[in-house]
Amino acid sequence: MQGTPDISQLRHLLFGKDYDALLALKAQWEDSEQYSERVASVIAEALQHREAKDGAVSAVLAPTVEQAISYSISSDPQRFADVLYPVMGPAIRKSIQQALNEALANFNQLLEQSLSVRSWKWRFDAWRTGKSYAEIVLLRTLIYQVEQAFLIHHNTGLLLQHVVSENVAGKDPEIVSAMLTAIQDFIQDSFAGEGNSNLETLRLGELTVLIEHGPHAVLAIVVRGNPPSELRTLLVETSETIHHQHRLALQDYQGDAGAFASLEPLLHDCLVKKHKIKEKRPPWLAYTLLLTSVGAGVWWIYQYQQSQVQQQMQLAITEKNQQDALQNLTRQLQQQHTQQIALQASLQTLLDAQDAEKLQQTQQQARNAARITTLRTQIEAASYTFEKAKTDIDPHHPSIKTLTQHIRELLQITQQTDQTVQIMIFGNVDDSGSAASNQLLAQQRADKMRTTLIKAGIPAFTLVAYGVKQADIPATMHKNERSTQYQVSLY
Amino acid sequence: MIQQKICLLGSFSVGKTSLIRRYVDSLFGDKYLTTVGVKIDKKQLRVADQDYSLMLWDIAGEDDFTSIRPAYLRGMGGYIIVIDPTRPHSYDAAIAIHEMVKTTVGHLPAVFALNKSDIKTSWQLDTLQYQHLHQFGHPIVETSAKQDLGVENMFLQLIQQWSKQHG
Repeated sequence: MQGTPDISQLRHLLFGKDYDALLALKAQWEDSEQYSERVASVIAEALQHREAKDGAVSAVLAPTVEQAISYSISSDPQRFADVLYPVMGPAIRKSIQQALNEALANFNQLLEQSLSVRSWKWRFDAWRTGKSYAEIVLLRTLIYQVEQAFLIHHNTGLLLQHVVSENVAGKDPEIVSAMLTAIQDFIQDSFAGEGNSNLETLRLGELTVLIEHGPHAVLAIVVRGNPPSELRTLLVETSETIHHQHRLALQDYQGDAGAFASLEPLLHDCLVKKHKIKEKRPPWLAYTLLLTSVGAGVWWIYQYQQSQVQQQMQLAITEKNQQDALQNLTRQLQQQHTQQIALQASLQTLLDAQDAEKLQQTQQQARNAARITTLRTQIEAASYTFEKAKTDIDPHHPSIKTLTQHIRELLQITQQTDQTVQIMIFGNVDDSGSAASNQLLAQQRADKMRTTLIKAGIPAFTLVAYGVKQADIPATMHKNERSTQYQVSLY
Repeated sequence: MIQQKICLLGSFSVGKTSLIRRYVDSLFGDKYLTTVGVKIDKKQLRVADQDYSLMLWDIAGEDDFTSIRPAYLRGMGGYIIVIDPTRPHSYDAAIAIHEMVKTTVGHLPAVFALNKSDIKTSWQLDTLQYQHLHQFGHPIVETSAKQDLGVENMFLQLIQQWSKQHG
């Protein structure tokens, strides 16, 4: 643009003041200070326009801002901390409060359940499934369903939006929300006194109403079951979202709830539910009990049968033993009977023998007696005749031999009949001779006979020798002959 | 659908509850009035192709022993003050209530309902009092719970005031 003065003059002639303005603009463009001053006056609006157009400014600035913040924090953290303190303090406190409340709620639930009958069942379940008790408690307690959600205008108590779960019969939600507001007012008015405290929870049996108070709207959910602490978080977040999206509509609410129809999906998200997980697990406990019962039954029957069998066996054994014993006894009895018969037979034989013996004995005795009588007669009839005035005896004389034989026989028989024989030998003399010599002779003859008989083998004690002339001899024995006579006596 | 919170006010036993009973959808019993001090009913009606859902806060009657809880008045779109003209005390109470509402909530659409119009001969409201009531600038409707008179009109009068405001 620079040139000779002539050209410069020519330019002035041609463009006049516009040229000066152009030059001034050029100077502004080239002078960085002036240029930045110029841009500074429009940069905010420019950014605003661009940001409104496609949001590129945020995207472009984000890395720079991040870097700047990083740089700032690394160079002077204290400054950043000071700036954030008013924000972070309440945020952290709120967060801690929330966390503590959640922990406390869980802890309370655990404590409440720890000593009940149900807790023992859960402990058993924990033992059975191998899970920790806390897990079981969580599984069993976190069972709930959000049945209804009310979005209520804070100021008027009018219902802005309402959603209800399927299969849940809700009463007129407009009246309910108004009454809920009235009751909150009543409670706040009656008990809370001054301050910003709000009713946050209502509980009736299985139902719990959780209420979250926003600046312009109240979000209330009706929960059946045990509401976990996460529900409160969900409630807070939903309330924040609603306020964020519809702040102006809430502020200027004049009774037309149509503006909040778009909130229905958001409220529907609050209708969370956690069903009781009913796993189709086999009922092991029931099976075990059943098996145990059946086993016990079978065992009992088996035992019973066994005992029956044993009893029967014992009975059979006893019976057999008894039969055996009976057989033995019968056998013994038979044997005894046989023996008895044998004994009787032998007894009979013996008796017969005895009888025969007796008979024989009697016969023998009779025979003996007869023989004794015969022998006695024969002996007493015997006589030995001596030579005159002699006493000699021929031992070989037949009569002596016969006499000796008879006496021996008599002795034998009387031995059998247990009798004692005494044979008296009487020596006789004839009338010749003197009485004295005759007496002597008679005695001598008797003695001689006795001696002869003793020599012949007759025992001496059987024989007694008498001379008949002795005074004490009976006269029947006196015979007038030279002989010896005999008299037999039996004792 | 326009929803509005309407408070039903008035002295003790002026017949507020009886007045609306046949016209509204109820969910709660009268015991709420004596316990919580308020009972909510709903009145739905259609005026000039516009559906209205009026939440009626039947607030326990004010007397020497019971005072209206101001919290119940918060956010209402209008109110009905029921007067029993057979009892002059209810008129005084109505004036006091009206003043109280204006102080605590501000100027709002309102209707004065002179109840028990079936026994108008027993009314003890004098002309001066009637004029005074008119001076408040709110419609005055004569009603009778016994003869089903004026109740629909009472609600209509309220709705018309809103229409004027927004129209």
